[in-house]
Amino acid sequence: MTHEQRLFAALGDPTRRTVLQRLTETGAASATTLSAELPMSRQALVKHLAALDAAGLVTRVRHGREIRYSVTPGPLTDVVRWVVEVGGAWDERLARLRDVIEEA
Amino acid sequence: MSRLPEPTIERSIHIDADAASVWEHLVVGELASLWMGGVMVIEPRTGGAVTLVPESDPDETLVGLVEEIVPGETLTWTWRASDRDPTQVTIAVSPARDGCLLTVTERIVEYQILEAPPLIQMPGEPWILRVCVAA
Repeated sequence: MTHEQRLFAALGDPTRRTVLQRLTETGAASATTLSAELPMSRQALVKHLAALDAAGLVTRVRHGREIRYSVTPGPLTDVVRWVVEVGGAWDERLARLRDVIEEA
Repeated sequence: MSRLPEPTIERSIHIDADAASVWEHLVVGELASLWMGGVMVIEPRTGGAVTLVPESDPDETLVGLVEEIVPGETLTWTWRASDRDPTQVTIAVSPARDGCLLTVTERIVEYQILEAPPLIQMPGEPWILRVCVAA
């Protein structure tokens, strides 16, 4: 699996997007803190955080006895670039399609 | 804060024409080439080849296979450029008031690379893209 595929697979899960969004809003947090705020078990949350970590979307920093996760915004630019590039291409294609058909 | 980006593209447009006419512009290569931004070759059958040679950059030629086709309704293919991950494109056409609605989605998919039998030779690459499997 390429980095891009790991990234999209991680972001393709709505729960992981919720976790990521929560971390974006609150800043660094531990799995225990997040599980108290989100409707899922700590065990499930740790699995989602591991997937986000593998995709490079979060980083882990140890604070004493707990591990805190924070968002790494860099990889999101890859997603944005893909969305803009591919979405823009379809915008142009569909506009041409409508012109071609309606002007025929 | 703004929403996180979805890893899927989805676009819909209303076209003031009947669905059959729009469908023709999807599955007839000469007609598809009028709007896809390059020379489009498509075999409108499951397993048929799909190729787009972009006018802007022929080196970014996209090559793939039709995965599913419901005549007059939906067309799904998976394709990739030589240095990109494969993506799956689905175009759906449905009748709507004063014309029809066309919706296109595109997303990145998993894929397998097999040695043989050859089906599509990717330009400049020694291996063969044989099977595409949705993630």
